[in-house]
Amino acid sequence: MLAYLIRRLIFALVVIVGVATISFALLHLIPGSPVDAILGTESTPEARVALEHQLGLDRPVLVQYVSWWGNVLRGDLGSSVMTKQPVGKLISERLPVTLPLALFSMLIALLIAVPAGIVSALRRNTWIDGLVSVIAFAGLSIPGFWLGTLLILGFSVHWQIFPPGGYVSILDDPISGLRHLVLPAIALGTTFAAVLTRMIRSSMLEVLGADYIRTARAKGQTEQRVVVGHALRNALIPAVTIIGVQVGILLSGALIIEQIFSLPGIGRLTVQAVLDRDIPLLQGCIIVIALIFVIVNLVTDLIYVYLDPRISYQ
Amino acid sequence: MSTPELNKLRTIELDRRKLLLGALASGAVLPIAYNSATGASVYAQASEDGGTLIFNNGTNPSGLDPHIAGAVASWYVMDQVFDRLLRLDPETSEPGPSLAESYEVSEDGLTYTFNLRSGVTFSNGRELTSDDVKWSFERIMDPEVPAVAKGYFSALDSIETPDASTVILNYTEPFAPLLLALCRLETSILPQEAVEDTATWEVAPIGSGPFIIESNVKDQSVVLVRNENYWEEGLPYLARVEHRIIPQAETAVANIRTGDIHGTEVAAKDIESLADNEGVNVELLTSSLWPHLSVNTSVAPFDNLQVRQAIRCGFNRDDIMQAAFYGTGMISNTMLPEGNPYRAEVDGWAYDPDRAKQLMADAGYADGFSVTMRIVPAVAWEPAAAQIIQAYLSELNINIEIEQIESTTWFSEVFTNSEFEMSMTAHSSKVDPDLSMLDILHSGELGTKNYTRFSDPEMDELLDQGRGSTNPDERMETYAKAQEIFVDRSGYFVLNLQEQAWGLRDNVQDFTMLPWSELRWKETQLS
Repeated sequence: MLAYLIRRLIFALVVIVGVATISFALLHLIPGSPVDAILGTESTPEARVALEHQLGLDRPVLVQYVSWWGNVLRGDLGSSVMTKQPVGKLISERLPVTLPLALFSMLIALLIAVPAGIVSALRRNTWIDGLVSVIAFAGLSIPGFWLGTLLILGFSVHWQIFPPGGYVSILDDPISGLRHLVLPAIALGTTFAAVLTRMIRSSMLEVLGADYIRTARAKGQTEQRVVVGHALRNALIPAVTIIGVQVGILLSGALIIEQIFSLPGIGRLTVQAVLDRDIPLLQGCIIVIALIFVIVNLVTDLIYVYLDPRISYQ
Repeated sequence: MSTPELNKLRTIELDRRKLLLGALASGAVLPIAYNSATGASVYAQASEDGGTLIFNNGTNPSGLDPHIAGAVASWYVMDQVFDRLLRLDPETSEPGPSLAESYEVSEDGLTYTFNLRSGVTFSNGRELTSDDVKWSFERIMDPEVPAVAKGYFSALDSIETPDASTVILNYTEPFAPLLLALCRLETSILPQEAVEDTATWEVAPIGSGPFIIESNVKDQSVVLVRNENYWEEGLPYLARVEHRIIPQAETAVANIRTGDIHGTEVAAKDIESLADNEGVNVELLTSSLWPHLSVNTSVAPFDNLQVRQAIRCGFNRDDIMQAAFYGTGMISNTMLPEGNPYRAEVDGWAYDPDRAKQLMADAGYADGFSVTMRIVPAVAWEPAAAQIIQAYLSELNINIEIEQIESTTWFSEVFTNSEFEMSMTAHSSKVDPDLSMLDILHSGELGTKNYTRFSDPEMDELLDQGRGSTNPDERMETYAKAQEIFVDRSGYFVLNLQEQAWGLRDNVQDFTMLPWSELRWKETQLS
C-alpha cells in the first residue's frame, strides 16, 4: 500500500510539472502581454519598455521559466503582475470560496442523484423512470451559464429569495454565506447530478440482476435490506469513479459560474489571469487546481478499497 | 426592511408597484428596494454620516498608480483619490483651479507659474508643497518609470520651486495643450514617501483627493472612505463608496434591479427594460468615446486614398446606430463632441453607393478584394457593426472575413504592432484637440498610437502648428483644417459619438460622470 502511494505521488509530481510547463509555454505562445492590460490605450513605447523591464518580461522565456521554478522550489509562487500581491496569498484567499462551492454543488448533486438513481432503477421502465430520465437528460443538456442566468432572474430579481451574486464568507455570517452559495451551487451541481443519476441507475440495474441479490432475496431479506445493504454499496463503486473525475469538471465549471455570480473564487482568478496574461498568477492557479485534481483522484482510488474488499494495492 | 417583514408583505399579495404607489401616497420613505444580500435596504444606507454608496466598477482596476494605470476601471477609483494641479470645469471645458489656486502663462508660452493652495495635506496628514509637484513630474519623466504622460514633458527644460507654494515650469518650445494635460489623472501629484513604500503603494496608494482606499480585494471590491482632511470644505458628502467588481452585464443589471447596488453602467440593449424598473433611473450621458472602423493605411489596398474614400461612402451609419447601439449616440464626422470649442462641422460624408462604386473603379478595384476584419466580440457593439459593414461593402465587391480576437490580443497585435487590415474599436477624445489628434494621426507617432499608420505631410504640419501655437483663434482654424483631412483621408471612420447609459437607484443625487470618463463622487449624495 505504501509503495503504491509513493508511486502515485511521484506520478502526481510528473503531472504537475508537465501541466505547469505546458501552461507556461502556451501563455507565451498566445499574443498579448500584461503590459497592454496595464497601460491601456494610453500606452507609449517608452512606458512599455520601462514596464516590461520592471516586470522582468524583457528576459528570455527560458530564463523566466527557470527562475520561476527556482522560486517555486523555495516555496515562493511569485507576485501577481496586476495586483502585485503574493500569488500564494491570492490563492489561499480564493480556496475558501471555491471549495465550499464545489462541496455544496456535490452535496446537492448527491442528494438528488442517489435517490433518483435508486428509484429509477427499482421502478425500471415505469413512468417514474421515464420522468427521471427526461429530467436527467435536460440537466445534462442545459449549460451552467444559462441556468445561472435563469436562476438569477427567477430567484433574485423576480422572487427576491436569494441574492443575485456576490460573496459573504460562511465563517463571517453562516446564513448569509449559505444564501449566497445556493444559486451558484445549483447551477454548478445540475450537470453533475444528471451524470450521477444515470450512472447510479445503470449500476444499480446491473447489481440488482446479480446472483447474490437473488440469493439475498431468496433468504427472505426485506427489500430495504437488499437495496441498501447489498446493492447500493456495490453500485456506488462506479459512481465514486465518476465523482473523482467530476471534481475536475466542477472546478472548470466554477470558472464560468463564479464569473456569472461574481464569486471571488479560484475559477474567476484563473480566468482573469488568462485575460491579463498574468503569468505568475496563472501558473500558481494551475498548479493548485492540478494538485486538487490529483489528490481527489488518489483519494478516490483509496476509497475503492473500502467499498470493494476485492480491490487492494499490494 | 427585514426579510420577515418583506415576506409578510408578499403573503398579503401586494405587488411592488402597488406598494410603491402606496408609499408615495402616504408620503412614506420608499422602503421597497430590499437588499437581498444583506437583508437591508439600500435606502437605509443613507444615514446621517452620508452613507455608503455601492457602484459596479465592472472589471478590476489594472493598477492604482495614476501615472501608470491607463484603463477606465482604474480611473473610476483613482479619480477619487488623487488631485491634479488643475481641474476641468464641466460647464466650460476650461482648466480651473484645483491644487493650484491660480496660474500665469508667459507671453511667449514658455513659462508657466502655478500658485499652490495653502493648507492642502495628503491623506497621511503631511502638507502638500511645491516639492511634491516637482518630484511627481520628475517621476513621470524618469525613463525607469512606465508613466504614460512622458510626452507632456518632453519639451520641459526645468522645474523651479522658489518657495513651498510656487512651481515654475520652463519649456523650450510652446506646448499648447499643457494646461489641459495638467487636468488629467496621469499628471496627479503624489507623496514621494508613500510611493517609495512600494508594498503599500501598489495595493492602497494615497493622495490628497476626497477619498482614501480602505481595502482593495481583487474580484470583490475596492472600498473608499471619506478623507477627513480633504481641502474642499464640507466635501465629500458620502462616508463610504464601495466599488464592486461585477463583470457580467446581466448580473450587474440584476443587482441594480434588486437594489443590491446603487449604480452601474448599462448596455444599450438593457436600457429599455431597466427604465421600466421601479426605483431605478437610467441616465444617458455623453461620453468622449468615438467608436470607429479603422483600416491599415500602410497596406494595400487601403494605402489607396480612393479606396478609403469609397469605403467612407459605401456604408450607412444609421443602420449601425440602430442595430449596434440601439439608437443611442450621435452620428458625427469628426471625433470631437458637440460642446467642444474646437469641433468643426465637416461635411461631405453621406452614404452614396454610386459614388463608392465609381471611386473603387477609379482606384482600379472595380472587381473588389478580400480582407480580414479583426474585432473583439466582448465589446457589445462590435459584432453587429462589423456584420453591417460587411454586408454593405460586399456591394462594392469587398469580401470581408470577420476574425474575432480577445482584447489583450487586439492591444498587442492590432494596436501596438498594426497587424491588421480592418478593425474597429472606440477611442476617447480629450478636451484639447492636440491630445485627441496628434497621437493617432501624426506620422511621428507611427509605431505608437497611430495604429492605422496614417502619414500625411499636410496633417503633420497642421498638428505641429497647433501644438506650438498659443493663439486660440489660430489654433481653432488649424484644427478645423486637420479635422477636414481626418474625415477625407485618414484610416479612421467615426461610427458615432457614443452615449453611455448609467442605471442609478433613485436615491442617488448628483451623479457626476464627465464625458471624458471622469467619475466624481465628492458631490454625490444619498437621500
